[in-house]
Amino acid sequence: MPNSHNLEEVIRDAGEGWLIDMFAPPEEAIPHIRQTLSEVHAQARKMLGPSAPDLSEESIVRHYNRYPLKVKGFLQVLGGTRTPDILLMAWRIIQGMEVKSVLLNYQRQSRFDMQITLQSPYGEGDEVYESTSINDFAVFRHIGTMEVSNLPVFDGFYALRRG
Amino acid sequence: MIGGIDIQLRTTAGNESLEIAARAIAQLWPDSVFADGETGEPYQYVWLIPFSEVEEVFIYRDSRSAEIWSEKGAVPEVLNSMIHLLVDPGLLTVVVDKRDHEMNAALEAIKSGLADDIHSVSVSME
Repeated sequence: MPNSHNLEEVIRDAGEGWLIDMFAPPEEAIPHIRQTLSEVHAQARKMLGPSAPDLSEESIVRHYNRYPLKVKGFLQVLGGTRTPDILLMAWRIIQGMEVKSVLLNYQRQSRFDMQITLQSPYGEGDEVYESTSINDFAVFRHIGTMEVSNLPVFDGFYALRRG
Repeated sequence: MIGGIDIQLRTTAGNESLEIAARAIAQLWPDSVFADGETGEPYQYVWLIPFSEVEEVFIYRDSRSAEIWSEKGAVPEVLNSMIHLLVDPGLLTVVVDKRDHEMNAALEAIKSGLADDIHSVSVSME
């Protein structure tokens, strides 16, 4: 089990140091990631009120030490996704929310929009997440697929493997 | 007492194969509960299981089945109400009491999840 103490340790231990090293300039990467997490946290409070998840640095570190592959996957999404809504959606799937429906509309050089509805396993209300940025499509690379009794299911959130 | 049947599935997903299989079974058993196969630590939801450090998982159809398994063990009244998953390098073992329609559906769902290329294809940063 990892024993990381801060965001940079988490990122490097997860093997996602590129988030820092490829940022220009690299010394501004961590403040930028902190700012992004802060925006996601604000979005969570706006959407979910008192039941918003804690996306503070301390919470990310704590989660990483318990669920390293999930946080690794989240960091990968953080590197390619710009929309707080979609980052929040990724975190909510990690937290057990289930993908209820996906609506995707794409027209080449014209239009991209997607709407993902998450369903709570605890009987709470659905959560709807939307994006018009094609970069956010990257989040689907992390969501598992399977057929259950020949019916389609999106389930789970996984880290990409680095070759 | 009843015995078990081992079904071995080759996989490149490593410990993630446990999660994939547990999630597939949870789709079929929406009230399922879980336990670490080595420590016995219970988990109400699949997403709470720290799969990175777990090598065996028991999945019970529901909490009542888990109670009976805990109190009486593998008695006939809990036939096929628990699936035991074990991971080894390159291999996922699924242990069921008896192959029937429901267990075959679970196996097919697990195989389908394992076939997702996210679990086998590496991406390169170069």
